[in-house]
Amino acid sequence: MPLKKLLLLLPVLLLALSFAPVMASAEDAPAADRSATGGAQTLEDIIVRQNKLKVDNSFRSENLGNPEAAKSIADQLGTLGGVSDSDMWRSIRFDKADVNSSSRSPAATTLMQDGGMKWLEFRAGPMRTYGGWLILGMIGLLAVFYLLRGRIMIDGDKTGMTITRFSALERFGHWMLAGSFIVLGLTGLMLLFGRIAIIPLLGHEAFAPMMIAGKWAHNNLAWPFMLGLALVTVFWIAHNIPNKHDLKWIAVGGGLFSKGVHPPAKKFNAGQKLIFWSVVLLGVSISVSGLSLLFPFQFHLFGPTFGKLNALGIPQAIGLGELSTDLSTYAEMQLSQLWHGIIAFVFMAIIIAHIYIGSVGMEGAFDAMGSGEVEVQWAKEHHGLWYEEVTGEKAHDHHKATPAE
Amino acid sequence: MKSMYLAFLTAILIAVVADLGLDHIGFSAAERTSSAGNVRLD
Repeated sequence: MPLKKLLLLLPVLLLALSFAPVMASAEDAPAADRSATGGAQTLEDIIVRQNKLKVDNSFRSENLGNPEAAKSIADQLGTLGGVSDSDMWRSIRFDKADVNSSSRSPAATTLMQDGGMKWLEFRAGPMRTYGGWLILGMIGLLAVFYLLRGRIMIDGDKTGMTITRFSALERFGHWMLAGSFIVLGLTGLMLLFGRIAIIPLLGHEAFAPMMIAGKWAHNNLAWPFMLGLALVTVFWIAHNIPNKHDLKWIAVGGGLFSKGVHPPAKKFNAGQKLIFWSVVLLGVSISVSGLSLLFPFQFHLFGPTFGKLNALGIPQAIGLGELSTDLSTYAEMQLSQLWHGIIAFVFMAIIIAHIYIGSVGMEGAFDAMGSGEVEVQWAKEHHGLWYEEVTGEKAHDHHKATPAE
Repeated sequence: MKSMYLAFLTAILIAVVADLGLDHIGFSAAERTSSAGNVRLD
């Protein structure tokens, strides 16, 4: 249970941090004098909102009428009750109306929700911009790295012999995760960028069927993704517990920037462990938020988590103030969707680097996941301690380093 | 490479079964996108 709580807290903390610059920039509006309008909204309120200052809306959200104060039925205007039309619409707008509905849809009693524009603006604005640049930036960085460093080759003489690096079952789990991730990533990008990148290029007629297929794939490949994630976690978690060799690996930069440097590493080196734990944590987070999107309104992830963060004082410490815990079902969905996208971009950036070093970036690396058999010299150079464990023979060149694939 | 192709095929198979299964338990695509009807205010 503590692990589950931690996993829930982590993504929301990161989400809160990602919103921090936006939220911190909103200054509080000066206190307004509403005596002239009898407590109702004034022109100043409208102006400060237009100036993007933070308005304390409690003068509206709490002003919902008072049935107790209704005049007696025998009095003048007594038939009007204690709640005006304005009071009623305010209670609907702030999701405080007691609405009954014959629809069984979980969100049917939320008639009005004003978070949609913020969600839309964030999705069409910072998420596309920063997310897009993150992916392009990573590709650019790898291109520059390739130009400077070239392909990392096997330094010693090849033996012509191979050693089994990953079993068929391990490769099956990896490729189930990888294959579904690639399709999920591409279809997710199509969902986010389709309107600005594909429709202008191909037109609505081509985009519509493409997205019907894309949405089907995105919804349903989530399951093999989660199964693959579970498989690789079970297969490799014991091998990815940090050890003293990781510090040596990190100290020499994993051999990324120098030729012929190969420090000792077991089955996985520090870089690979970093990739593994990123995949596990981001994979769980993206799965949980994805499930809440697959089953709309069934999960309440953010309200309870914000409550726990508030109790720890984290949002207050970073200047966000207390986060709202009373979130409507729609607000939960909007936050899940944004969180899903943010995590997806970070995940994709990391995996692009992983794909690079596991294919064109390093000679012999793809064989580990392709056939499962790697060149003995490659194993000695990149995973010397593992080679010794498996074969009982001494691997040389323990003083040099190898990058993560 | 057989493991890779087998994994891809299995992933597609799971996706198809998941889609049919979700339809069966009432989370079909049509159900998920339907709008709330018959809303009544007291």
